[in-house]
Amino acid sequence: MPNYTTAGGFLLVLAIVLPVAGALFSLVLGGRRAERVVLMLMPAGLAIAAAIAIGVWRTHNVLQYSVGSWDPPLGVAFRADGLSAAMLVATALLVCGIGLFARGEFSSSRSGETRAPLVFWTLLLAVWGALNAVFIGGDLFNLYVALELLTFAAVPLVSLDGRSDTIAAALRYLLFALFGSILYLLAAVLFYGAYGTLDIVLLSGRIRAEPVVWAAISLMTAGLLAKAALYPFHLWLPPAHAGAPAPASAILSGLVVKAPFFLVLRLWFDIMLRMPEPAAAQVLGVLAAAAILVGSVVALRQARLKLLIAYSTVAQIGYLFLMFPLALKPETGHPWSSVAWTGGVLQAISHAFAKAAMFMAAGLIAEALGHDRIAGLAGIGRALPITVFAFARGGLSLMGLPPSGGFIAKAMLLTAAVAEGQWWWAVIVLTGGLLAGGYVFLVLARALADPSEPLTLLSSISPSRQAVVVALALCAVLLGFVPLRPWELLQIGRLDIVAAGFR
Amino acid sequence: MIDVTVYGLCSAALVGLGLFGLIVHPEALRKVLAFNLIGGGVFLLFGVVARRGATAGFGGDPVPQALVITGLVVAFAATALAVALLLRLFQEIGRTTLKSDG
Amino acid sequence: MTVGEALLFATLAVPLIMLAACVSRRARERIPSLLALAPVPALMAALLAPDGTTLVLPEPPFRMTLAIDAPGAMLLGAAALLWILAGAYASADLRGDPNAGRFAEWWLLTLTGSLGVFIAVDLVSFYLTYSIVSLAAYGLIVHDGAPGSRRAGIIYVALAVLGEAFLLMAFVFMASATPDAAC
Repeated sequence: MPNYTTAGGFLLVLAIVLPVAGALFSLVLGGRRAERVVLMLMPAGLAIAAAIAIGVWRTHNVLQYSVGSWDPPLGVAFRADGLSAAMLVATALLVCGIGLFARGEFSSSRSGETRAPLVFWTLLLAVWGALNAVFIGGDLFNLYVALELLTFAAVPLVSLDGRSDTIAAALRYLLFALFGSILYLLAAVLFYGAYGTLDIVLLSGRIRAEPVVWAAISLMTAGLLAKAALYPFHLWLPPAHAGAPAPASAILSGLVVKAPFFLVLRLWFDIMLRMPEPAAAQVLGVLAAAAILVGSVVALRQARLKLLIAYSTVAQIGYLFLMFPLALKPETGHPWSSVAWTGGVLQAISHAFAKAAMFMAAGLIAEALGHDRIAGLAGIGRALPITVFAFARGGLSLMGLPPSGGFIAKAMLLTAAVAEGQWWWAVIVLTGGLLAGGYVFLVLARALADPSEPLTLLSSISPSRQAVVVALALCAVLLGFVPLRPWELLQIGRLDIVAAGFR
Repeated sequence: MIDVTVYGLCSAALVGLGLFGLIVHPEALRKVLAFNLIGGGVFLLFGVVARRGATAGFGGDPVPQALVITGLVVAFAATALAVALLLRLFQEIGRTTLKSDG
Repeated sequence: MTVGEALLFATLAVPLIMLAACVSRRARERIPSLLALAPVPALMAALLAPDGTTLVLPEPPFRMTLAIDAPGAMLLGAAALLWILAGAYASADLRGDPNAGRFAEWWLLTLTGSLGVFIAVDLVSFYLTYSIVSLAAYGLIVHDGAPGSRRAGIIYVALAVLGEAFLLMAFVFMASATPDAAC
């Protein structure tokens, strides 16, 4: 392209630089001011994300930026298509919600201890910057660095309270993540050795079906699956997400675990677009089905609320990977691939909001009761009705009941499965919904029951924090009001659609 | 190009040994060492790619060399973080074997 | 908005408004005695709204289509009558019950779903109202807190969710058979 950088491309740079600069500033300024830095950056980051989305929507084209004005293959490119824009906006909204919620927990004016708040606020900004970098990266190596940044920022969030079991969980998370990233790097070497470039758009043009490519794709996918905690690589997730403080769990389950999934999408849909649909898509589907079933069944057997929610994340990640057998194959020209694509992305976004609301509600409940045993939840429905309502709303989105983004996502995935004749995925989706209903109901029945003796709350929960939780749950509900048709925004810039000559 | 093939096979062997160690050993420190072994294999493969991409005037393609440097820094940071967590874990519970082997 | 459309809207709106009013404690104490009034707009809609009245709620944010036709009017009228009579009995039965407010909340939610089922026209609205009526009835079942009721509630919800899964599957089959996937 003559001018690789499009108008508004600089917004892409800002989206990364702003949070990272904020993180550095927080580190320098110290615990008390770190919180204020984050609060100042949140509206700015949200505005940038919104501007990028509006830019993509208005021009109906991708936003691009080549760093240093060097075009690929020599230079590094940032590329924001419709999918990136949607994820950027969702990230910004979620981080804003988490920041507002965490003020109550990590406010450094409350106690003299400033180390945990400083670490939390700094790492929140670092995670935000890394997520933005993952969503707009256009070069495989850039994405490797962004993934590593994400891992290094997320791991300490797990062990923020310093207990030995959270440290062990953080270490296990780190080891799995490193396993994933070194496989990813190995695959990147193979790609470069074979084709001489790591830029996604250029690679998609040069790739042919040969053993090097099969090896590279398998390695990269396996590595990213380990980071995304898809079955059978899911063992690290429940202790890590359950052990982290509630706002950290929200961002970990909501978005950090979706970033590797996003990269698998880029790999399979963008880079591999010239190649026929591999049978491996069905393998991914089988792993996804196993994740849904195993995650949901184990969630039913949990005694602690946060572990139940974490296992629910394992199951919901499975829904995301059902996109692969359903949405690949646009060259046959059927429109259902767009339906499955929209359904999968909508599942990712609405799950992020719903799961964040559930984790934060669980955090408030644990603060109020001093524990998070499900058996001891009786009476909390009356003590903290707004919080339990937010939890219930998030849970209903996970179950796939209208109105919620989860329902629309499930309906789209079901429609795509039925229309393509792959009805077995439909059975899995429905079974997953049933099991999700099971574990959500388990908690709610307990919470709404009458306690045997009157409940005394350990601490009062401020209504503003409860309001934030409800707001996030309502975001998941609002997503349920979108039409049951493929979103045009998400189709902008899809390489496989463009290559096949549609639109 | 005989030497390049030898290096390539060597890097494959390193990656294989490292993967074996990562999966088999329960102690966390050994897993970190195994990760570094795999890393060594990958960086060696970068070198092979650089050598194969040598053109007139250059001894090797400069891009993989730049990638290796970045990769080394990242691996170093990763190892540092892992070892710091390991030390803290050891201080807390006196052993470094993770409970259910991952 | 014609009278018929206003009545259709009120069929769902009045119970929901009463439910929303339960947020305040004073209202929550008064509402159990007013349960019989909530289905009255539905009864009036069934009797007075002309056949074929359709109300389409605007696309953002609601996208619901409510309509009433002859068989629907009969079912709606009969249901509304039953709810009115049961509501009157419930008001009398709840006098003196300390948890009357909670019962009224679940009652109103179930009522909304139950009446909505008869007037919802598009698939999503039907599924929504059906889910509401199925799941909200749980609160009514376990109201007295006895262990037998708890067990009954669990079995009920399990079967209700199972039924909804089948319903969703049926809708998906129907939707993929017709060219327009939205309804």
